[in-house]
Parts: sequence; structure tokens; C-alpha cells
Amino acid sequence: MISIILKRVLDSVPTIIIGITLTFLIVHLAPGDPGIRFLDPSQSPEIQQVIQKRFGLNEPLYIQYWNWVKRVLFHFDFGNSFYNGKPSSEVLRSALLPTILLAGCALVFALITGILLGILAAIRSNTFTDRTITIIMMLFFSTPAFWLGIMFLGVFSIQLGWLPSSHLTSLYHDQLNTIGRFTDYIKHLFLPVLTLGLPLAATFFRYIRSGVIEALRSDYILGARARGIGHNKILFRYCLKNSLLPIISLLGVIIPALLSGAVIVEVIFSLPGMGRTMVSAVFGRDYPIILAASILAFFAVVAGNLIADITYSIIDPRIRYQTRKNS
Amino acid sequence: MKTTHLIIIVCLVFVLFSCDSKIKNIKQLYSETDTTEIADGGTLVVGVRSEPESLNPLTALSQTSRNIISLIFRRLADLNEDLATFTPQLAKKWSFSSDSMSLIFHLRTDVLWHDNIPFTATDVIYNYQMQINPDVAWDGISYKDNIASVQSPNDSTVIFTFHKKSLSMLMDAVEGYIVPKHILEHDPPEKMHESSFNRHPVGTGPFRFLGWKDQQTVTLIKNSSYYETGKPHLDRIIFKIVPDNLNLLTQLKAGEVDLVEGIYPKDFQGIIKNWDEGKSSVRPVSYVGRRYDFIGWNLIDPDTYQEAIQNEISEIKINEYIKPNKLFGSQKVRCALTMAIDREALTNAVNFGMALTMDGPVPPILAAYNEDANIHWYYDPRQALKLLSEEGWIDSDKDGILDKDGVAFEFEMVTENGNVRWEQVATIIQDQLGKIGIRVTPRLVEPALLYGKMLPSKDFDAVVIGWVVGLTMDLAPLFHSSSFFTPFHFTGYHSLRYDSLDSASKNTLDPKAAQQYYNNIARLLSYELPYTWLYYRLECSAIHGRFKNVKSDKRGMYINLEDWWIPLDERNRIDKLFEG
Repeated sequence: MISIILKRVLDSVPTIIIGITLTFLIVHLAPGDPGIRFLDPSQSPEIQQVIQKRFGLNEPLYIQYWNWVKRVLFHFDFGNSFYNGKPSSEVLRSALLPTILLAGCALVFALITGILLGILAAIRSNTFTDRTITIIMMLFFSTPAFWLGIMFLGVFSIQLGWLPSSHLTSLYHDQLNTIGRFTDYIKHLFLPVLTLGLPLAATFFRYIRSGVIEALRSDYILGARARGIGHNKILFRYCLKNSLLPIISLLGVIIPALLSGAVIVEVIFSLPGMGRTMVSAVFGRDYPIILAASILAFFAVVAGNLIADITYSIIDPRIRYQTRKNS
Repeated sequence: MKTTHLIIIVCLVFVLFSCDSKIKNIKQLYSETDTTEIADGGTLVVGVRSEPESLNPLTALSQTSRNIISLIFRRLADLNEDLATFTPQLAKKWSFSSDSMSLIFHLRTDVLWHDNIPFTATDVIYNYQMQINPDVAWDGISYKDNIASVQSPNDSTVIFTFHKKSLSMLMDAVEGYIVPKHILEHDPPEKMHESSFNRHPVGTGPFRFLGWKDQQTVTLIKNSSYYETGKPHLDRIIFKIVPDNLNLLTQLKAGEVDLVEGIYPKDFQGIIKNWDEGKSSVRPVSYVGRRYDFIGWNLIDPDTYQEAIQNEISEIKINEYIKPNKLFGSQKVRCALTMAIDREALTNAVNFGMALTMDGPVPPILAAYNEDANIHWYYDPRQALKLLSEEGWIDSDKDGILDKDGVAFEFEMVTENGNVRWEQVATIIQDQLGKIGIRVTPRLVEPALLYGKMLPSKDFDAVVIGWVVGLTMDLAPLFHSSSFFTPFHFTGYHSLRYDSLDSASKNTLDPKAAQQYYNNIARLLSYELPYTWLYYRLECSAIHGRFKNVKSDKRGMYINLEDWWIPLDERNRIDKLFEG
């Protein structure tokens, strides 16, 4: 297993290097000057040069790239934000936690909802229940997250006033006791998790439903039934296990997609996080933040695929066997 | 069934009447004159769209940062509403030396920094040193150009000595909030933008910094040691970051935030209506602000400009090297374009009545403003066509587009992508100029590209953008030949007459003579039209009615925040939670 992980990690190194180099070139070659926002019409051109020098933009591109690579590799320094002067690692660290919280909760919610409803629809296949669930899930699948978010905001926050419309905590969060704080988090995360999680749950639902229906009709299930194995055991031990395989391979794609989905949700619900950080960095040409966040995104993709591969090989030993045989 | 209907109708009528009495109560409650005794305490929640980048006056740039800074820090003196006189702050009084070349400030001796260290003259000297240090890149550095030196004979006296006498000596000296030397002296100037002070500021103002939750809130609390005894009245100010405009307005209406600035005029009209009808406790506040929008014409040929840059020619040789723009190089053409645009209709259409049509370069908030000095180009498409035909622009091939020497009168009008108002302006101008045979193509450009490349390299035809004006009269960065090669002088305007008027206005010590120069500048520029000035915007803000003694003017919403207060019976849940 360790050798498989190591091989996968080593395989991903060139991908990360190429990806980061391309990102560096694209952001630096895009027309526009990140220093312009620091200038006032009444300032002299010398100040402009000072700002260029401050950000290291006065050097040729290949020197800028080499300096950046040196800093990252040897000092683990991703540079300071052009916008607020904070170290990029600090900016990303504070932005990453809320995003992981949001994306993690949305993923767990989507998995539970998608799997449970998928199984329910499959065992009640072609009944009213199945059709109703399928139609509702298709609606969520085809609804853009920003629309869903605005609708939830309009109904549950503005019209009904049941849930808060923005931020991760209330203004008076620190004044609350432990239970109050926990409830405060749940209240604030409820709508964003729903917005991000429902379309994802619909995706999982489709795979699980069709997977379970297919499995229920297969010969090995018929054989199991003939041997007198109980319904629940057949469903959860055999059908579901096989139906989960496509979901696992989907996880590699889902994790980066969750991060990009979080961008919209974070803006709508004014949540702190990677999404907002990335958007403002891109618009403000904040090169250090863009590059550091890109490295993180590349790692997320690689890690997502790695996790999927490992989980896959745990659930389906044939894969492990095949990999060993090939190597 | 009929009985049921009757009951429902009776209930509805009852509900409606109940609502009406509630509406009257709201209006009465918040419209009352302040007669009760001022009560201390309470929290103000300000909704802002973006996070401040820094709370250090030497490095901050955004309006959000500046607003917060204005509550934490203090200047030597504050500019009054007339923009000519000053109110003492950290300096209790000042006087000119006998030769009028120096200004002597006598500082207050009862001022403490928020960390309880006394404020002294050494702080003022340190500030000046940092403000003029190019490595710090302070955005107000030009205010200090005329200052020769700053000295302190003792801890409570500071002497500013100037290179030459000018009307703006006091303004030049007091511009800039004072930061603490004892904290910042450990940071090298070139690292000022990375200093931890930027996120943990210590000032002398009425509120002190309490905390900053990334992308969520910045909290200030009352400075109990503030030198103006008995102030501020509010206990706490929370700046809540809400990037989504719809969400921000919703929170304002729901009472989750108390104050929002920069409301879109269309939304602002709704707030006015609801307030007037007594349906809402959110009070609209509007005042003549500091922003205007205009069309900038490219007066020069971009290719010859690039050649001039490559050959590093000086400003004095501009006319020799740089050719005029084939479309906008002629004053008559710019005049015709201005007359072909119905600026009044445009102003009302995009601002919903919350703007004033503008004719010349001097903003109406400045004392130098004189409406009669401007030349007014009234909407007259026929006269515009006549002027264009005099310049040789006629529709010779009958394709509906004016042409001259085989060149069609068509151009791109660039503007900032994402700014809905400017996008609308460009579309309306496209329509209006189309009616006289000029083909305009609006082009939306990303801000970094527009301000970072297209405008500085003068590589555009016409642009629709806006400026935020300072509180002093200085048009040189935009029109003086000495700034011809700087990024913001993008129209390529150069005029010896303008240069001499500008210099004369800055060198005179007679306010009347200065006004005469300003009038001449306004007349010249509104005749030459390097810009077609469109409108001057009114600031649209809204604040919850429970806040009393709120004053606002062209200097902004925060000019007297230390005087704001909330009556005890109007405190809300957040006030009580923090007090409890």
C-alpha cells in the first residue's frame, strides 16, 4: 500500500510543477499592473518604481520566477500579499479552515442524503416514492448553486427570518456559552451547506440509485437470495458496496469542484474562506496569493485522486492486485 | 361560507389598521427631535462591502480602511466644512512665524496613545519622516512637497518650515493621521506595508482597536482616555464585511446592520420612499460627495506617443513629436460630441436623480467652484452636426456614418467591467452619438488592464470612468504638462496657458487672485474639453433612526461619530447583549 501511495505522489510531482509554472506565467503575462492600485494621480513616477521594486516586479520574468521558486523550495516562503502585506501562508491558513468546514459538512451531508435517498429510490424503483425523489433530486442537480443560495436566503433568512443571512458566527458569538456557540455555528452553516450540498447529493443519488437497481437485478444477488441471505444484508453488504465504487472515483473530481463551488456560496453568504480570497486575489492581481492558492488547489486535486485510489483499492482488492501485478 | 369570508375580511382590516398604527409609531419614534439627555453606550454596526487592507494611515488606501482609521487616529487639526478653516485636534493652537515661512504648532499635553504612552512632538516628526520617505510610498506625499523641515524645540511644540509661501501651508502641514513612533520605529520604512501594526493599530482617536476576524468583522471600542472629555458616547463599533450588495441591503432593512454607505441610487429611492411613508426605521442620508464621472477623450495619436516614450523625449518637446488624435484632436469635434450627448437625461437615467450635471473641472464641493466660470455646452445635436461638418466630417457615402478622407467616424468607448453605471453610460452615449452618425462601440475592460495598461500607455479612443476628488484644488496631475507621461494624465492634454494658470494659482497668496486663476482654469478646460464632464454624484447612505446627532457633509459620514448616541429606550438586542 505504501509503495502505491509513494508511486502516486511521485507521479503527481511533474503535474504540480508544470501547473504552477503555467499559473506563474499566465498571471505575470496577463496585461495590467498590480501596482496601479497603490498609485494616486498626485504621486510621482518614482513612487511607482518603489512599488514595482517592493513587489519584485522590476526584474525580468525569468528572474522573478527563479526567485519565487527559490523562496518556496528553500524557505517555504510564498511571499507576502500585495494587498495587505500579510504572508500568503497566513492568509491561506485563515481562509482554508472555514472552507474545509463548509466543504466537509457539505460533502458529509451530500453523501448521507445521496446514499440514503438513492437506496430508497432503488428499492422502491418505479413507484410514486421513486419518481418523486428522482424529480426533486433532478431539480437540485440542474439548479445553479448561486440561484439556490439566493432562494434559500430569500425564503429562510429574509421572509421567514429563521436563519442568519451571512457570516460564520453572530456578532455576539463571544458572549454566548459553549452550547450557544455550537448552535450559532450550526445556524450559520445550515443554508450554505444546503446550497453546496444539495446539487452534490443529487449527483451521488443518481449513481447510487442506478448502481443499486443494477445490482439488485444481477445474478449474484439472485444467488444470494436463493441461499437465504437476509434482505438488509444483501442490500448493504453486497449491493451498496458495489454501487459505492463509482462514488469513490467521483471523489477525486468532487473535492476540487467543492472548492470552486464554495467560491459562490462564500460570496452569497458572506462567509470567510478560500473562495473569496481567490476571487479578490485574481481581481487585484495579488500574485503571491494566486500562486500559493494555486499550489494548494493542485495539491487538493492530487490528494483527491490519491484518496480515491487508496479507498478504491481497499474496497476492491482486485485493483490492488492488478497494480502490484503491473508493477 | 359567507360568515367565514366576513371574518377573514374583518381580520385583514384589523391587521392593516394595526400595521398602520405601527407605521405611524415608527415614524414618530425616529423623527422626534432630540430633547432627552444624551445616554452613553450602545453599538453601531456598519456594513461594508470589502475588507480593509490595512489600518495603518501610512499604508492604507481603500475607503473602508480610511473610514476606520478616521476613528482610531487623529490629525494635528481637522478641516472644517468650509474646506478653508481648521479645528484643533492634537494641536491646540498654531501660529505663523514673523516671516510667514514657518508654522508653529502647540500640541496638547493631555493626549495618550491607546497603550497609555503620552503623545509628544517626536511622534509628529517621525510621521513627517515616514510620510516623505519614498520607501513607505504614502499616498499623500505630494502634500509635503512644500515643507522644507520639521523641528521640535520641546515635547509640545513643532515647527514646520516651508520652501515658499502658499495658501495651502496649513493644509500641507496637518494632512495625515499621526502614528506612534514608539511602536513603528522598529519597522524599517521599506517593510512598513508588512508591519503587524497594520492589523493592530494604536492611535489617539475616540475609538480603539479591539479585534479583526478575517473577512468577517473589525471591532473598535470606546477609548475611555480620549482627550475630549465625555466622548465618545457609543461603546462599540463593528464593521461587518458583507460583499454581496443584496445581502447587505437586506441586513440593513432587517436591522442586522445600522449603517451602509454607497447605496445604489435605485435602491436608495426605495429607502427614501419607505422612510417618508413611515414604513421603515432606516433613515436615508444623502450629501454632495466627492465623486464625478466623465468621458476622457484621447487627444493624441497613440503611435506617436509610444515613439516619444521610446525616444525618451521631454515634456517641452511634446508638440514636436506627438501628433493629435485623428478623431478627438480637434476642439471643435470634442465640442460637437459634448453637444450631441444629452447629459441631463443621461445623468437622471443612470443616477435616478442622485447626481448633478457637471460642466467643468472644479468639483462643486470646493471653495474654488464657480458655476459661472464654466462654459456650458447645451444639448444641441443639430449644432453638433454643423460643427462636425465644418471639420470635414460628413456622410459622403450615405451609409449613415460620418466620414472624412475615407475614414469613418467610429471609435471604441472603454469602461471598467463590472461597473454597471459606467456600462449604462457607455450604452446611452452609443445610442445618442449614433443618432448623429457616429458609431461607438462600448468595450468593457477589466480594471487591472484598463488602469494598468490601456490608460497609462494612452492606448484607447475614449473612456468612461470617474474620479474621487481630494479636498484641495489640484488639477495638475490630470492636465499639467509636467505630468504628461504619468499614468493618470491619459488624455494627452497639454497647454502652456493651462500650465501658467496652474502655477500662478499655486504661487499667489491672495485668495481673490487665486479664485480668479481657478475661474480661468475652469473656463479654459471647459472650452478645450479634454474631458466631457458628465455628472457629480450625491452620496447615498442610510442609517438606523435610533442613532441621534448624526451629521454628514462633503467630508463624509464619520465627521462627528464621537457625538452619536442612542436613547436608552431605543437600544436593540445587540446593544443589550454587549452591555449585559
